[in-house]
Amino acid sequence: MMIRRIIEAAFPDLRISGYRVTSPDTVGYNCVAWAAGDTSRWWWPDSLETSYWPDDVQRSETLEAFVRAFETLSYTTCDAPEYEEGFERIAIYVNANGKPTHAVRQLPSGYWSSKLGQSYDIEHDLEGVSGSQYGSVGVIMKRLRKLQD
Amino acid sequence: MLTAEDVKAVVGSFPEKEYLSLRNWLLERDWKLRNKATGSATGKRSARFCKLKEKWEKETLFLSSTSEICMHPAYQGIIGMGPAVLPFIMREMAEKPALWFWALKAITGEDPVPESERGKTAKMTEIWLYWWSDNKHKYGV
Repeated sequence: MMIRRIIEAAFPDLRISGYRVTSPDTVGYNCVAWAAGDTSRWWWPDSLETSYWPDDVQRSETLEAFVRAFETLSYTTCDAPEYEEGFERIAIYVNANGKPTHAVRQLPSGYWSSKLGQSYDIEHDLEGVSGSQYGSVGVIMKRLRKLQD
Repeated sequence: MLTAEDVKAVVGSFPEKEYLSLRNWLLERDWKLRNKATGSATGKRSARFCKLKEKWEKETLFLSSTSEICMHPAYQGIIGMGPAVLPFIMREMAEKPALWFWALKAITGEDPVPESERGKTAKMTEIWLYWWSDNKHKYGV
């Protein structure tokens, strides 16, 4: 499929580690929103304030601000990326300058789910989207999994 | 330019049917001439917009950073086209929502989107399209 060729050209490690496209493309939300569990808005602390950013969190494109944004959702930083029963995890990627570029959330399977910018959601290995496009994992955060009603 | 009124004044009493027919012919010719003169400029503008848009879409497809998406050189090139590009952006938005909001704010100096709706792409698109229907006359459309 054309889209797989486009994805693999941008993320060559996915060809090796494997991935699955899990949704149609949309600009209704981005990776940060997806990681936050919000598919109704595009999250980003842009200076022109056209995108959503949590109240009381500095509108700044820094890892610190992104960590604070997820802290508003009860996430706290942690070390291990391994799946842990009863917990939800997200990871924030940073470029070589330490600037946030991407966010992912962990699935119960232990794999991770990404919204690739303005395109598709995919399910993948944590390191699968590392590279020139998104950089590398800068921080991992976790929170207690909410009980289902 | 010679009008039906000019002709009528010259030939005196003019049969109504022939008068209306000539008048309509003159109006249509005038419209075609005006559009022929501006069509070329519009066509070039459209081609430039399409070229920049396609480059922007392709090269920002996997980005989540609103800043990076909107600071892309092609996107900035579209902003640089000024108010004349607004009809093209609006036509694009009506067909397929995209992150045109930076460009619209930068070009118009306006922002009709309330804070509560920030980030809601479909809603922001709707708000801007309504804004355009009320304000496009200010841009000669």
